Amino acid sequence: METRIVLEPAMLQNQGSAAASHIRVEGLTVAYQKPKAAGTLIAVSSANLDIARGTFVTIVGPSGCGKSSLLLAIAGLVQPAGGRVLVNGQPVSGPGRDRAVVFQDFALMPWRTVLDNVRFGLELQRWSGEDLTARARRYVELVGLKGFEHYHPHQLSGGMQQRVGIARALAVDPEILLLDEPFGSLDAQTRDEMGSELLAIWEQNKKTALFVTHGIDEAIFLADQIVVMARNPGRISEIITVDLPRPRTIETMDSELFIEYRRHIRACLMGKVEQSCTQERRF
Amino acid sequence: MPIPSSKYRVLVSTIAVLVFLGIWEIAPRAGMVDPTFTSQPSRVFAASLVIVPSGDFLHDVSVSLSEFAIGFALAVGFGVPLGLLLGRFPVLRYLLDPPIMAIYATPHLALLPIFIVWLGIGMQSKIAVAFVGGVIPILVNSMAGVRGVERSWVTAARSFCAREWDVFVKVILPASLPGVVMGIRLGVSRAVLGVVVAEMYQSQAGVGNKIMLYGSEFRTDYLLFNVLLVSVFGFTATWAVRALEEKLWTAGK
Repeated sequence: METRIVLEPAMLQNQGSAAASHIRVEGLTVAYQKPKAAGTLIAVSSANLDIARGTFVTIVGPSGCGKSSLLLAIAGLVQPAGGRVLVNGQPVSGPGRDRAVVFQDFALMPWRTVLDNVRFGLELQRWSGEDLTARARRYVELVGLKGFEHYHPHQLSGGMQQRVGIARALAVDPEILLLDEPFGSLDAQTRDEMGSELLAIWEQNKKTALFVTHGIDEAIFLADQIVVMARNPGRISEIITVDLPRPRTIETMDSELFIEYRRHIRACLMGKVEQSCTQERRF
Repeated sequence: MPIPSSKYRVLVSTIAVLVFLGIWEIAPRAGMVDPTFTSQPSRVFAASLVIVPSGDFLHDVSVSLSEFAIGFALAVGFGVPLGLLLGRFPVLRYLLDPPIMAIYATPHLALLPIFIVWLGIGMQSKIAVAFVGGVIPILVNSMAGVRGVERSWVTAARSFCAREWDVFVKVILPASLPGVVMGIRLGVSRAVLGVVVAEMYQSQAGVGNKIMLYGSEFRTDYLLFNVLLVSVFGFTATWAVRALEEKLWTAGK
C-alpha cells in the first residue's frame, strides 16, 4: 500500500473562490475579555479556512488552541474580533437554520424527555406542516434510542445523552453539522463506537461536518480533512487531506496509512516539526 | 426514596400524635395540670361544635382567607415576574439588590404599625402584611432559580436561533420553576403568619382577631380551636405546594 500524505498549504492562504466553498473563514480572530485582569485573550488569531460542501472536517489541537472558539464563531455563537465567516458566500452574523451544533456537555434540558429534547430545536425554529413529535421520534430512532423516548437525560449514560444531542441537531435538517468535542467526556470504548455510528449516519446524506476533538485517532478516523491547530496564539498550523477509503471501520485504524497520519499529526502537535508543518511537504 | 420504611414512619408518627393527645386529655383529668391553662382535646372539640355553626365563624374565616388569598396572589403575581427579571438581568439586580436585601432582613411584622397607619385596621393592612411577607421569599427564590440556569442550555437554545423571548419561555422559565415553587412554599407560611399576627394586633374580624379575643377571656379551648384552624390551613397549603415541588424536581432531574 502506497503511503501518501498530501499537505495542502494552499488552503492556508486565502485562495479559492468563496462561492465554491460551503464554509469560508477569512482572517478570523476571536478574542475574550480576561476575567478581572485587564487585557484580552486571543483565542484564534487570523485563521483562514475553506470547507467544501459535503466534507467531514476535523479540528485537532491541544487545549487552549482555540479550536472550539473557531467552531463557535462558525456557529455564530461567538462574535469575531476580526475577520469573518461566510456560509454559502453569505457573512455569518449569528446562529442560523443552516447550521446546528452538538455540544461537549450535551446541553440537554433536564426537565425534558429524550423525545422533547429532540423536539427542542424544531420548536425553536418553529417548524410546521409536520407533526414535530413524529419527526423527533424518527431522529430518536436514527441514533438508536428507540424505547428511550420518555426517559429523562439523567437516566441515560453519557453516550446515550450525546446521541440525543446529535438527534436534536440532525432533526432540524441543517446543511452543516458543528460538533464541539462531542465525545470528549465519554470513555474510550464508547467514543470509538459513537465515532463509527456518527460516520454511518453521516454517510447517508453527507452533510458538511465540522468536528472538534483533541483525540488524534478520532480526528483521522472521521475526517476528509484535518485542521491542525497550535496555541499561543490559537492558529491553524496545518491542513491535511485524509485519503483513507470510506466506509471506514475500526480496522481502518490499524492500517499503515492511518498510523502514518497519526505519527505525523502527533509530531506536529508536539511542535517538533513546527516549521515543516506550515510548509509544503510530502513523504 | 426509602419506600420500605415509609409505612413504618407513618406508623411511628401516628403513635406519637396519639400519645400526645392522650397525655393532653388525661393530665388535666388526673389533676396534674390546670385545664384552664392547657384545655383538653375533648374541650377543644366541644368548642368547635359551638364555634363552627355560628355565623361569626364563617365571617371570620372568610375575612382571614380573603386577606391571605389577595395578599398572597399579589405576592406571587409581583414576586415571580420580578424575581425572574432580576435573575435574568444583572443590571436590574444590582439596582434593586440593596432595597430587597433590606426588606429581606427586616422582620415583615415590624412593618405592621406603619401599615395600620397607612391603611387602617381593616382588611387592607392585613393584605399588605401578607403581601410583604410572601413576596420576599418568592422573589429571592425565583431569582436564585434563574441563576441556576446553566449557560449551556441558553447557548443550545441560541444555536437553534432562539430569540430572547424563546429563551425565556423555553429555558429560563422551566429551569427556574423549582426555585419559584420553593419560594411560594416559603411564602405561604410567611403570609399566613402575617395575616394572623396582623389580625391579633389590630382588627375588626378574622381568625387572629378571635385568637386574641379568646386569649384575653381565658377561653383556652376556643383559642386553641382557632389556632388549630390556622395550623391545619398552613399545613395543608404548604403540603400541597411541596407535593407540586417534588413533582417538578423529579421531572427536572
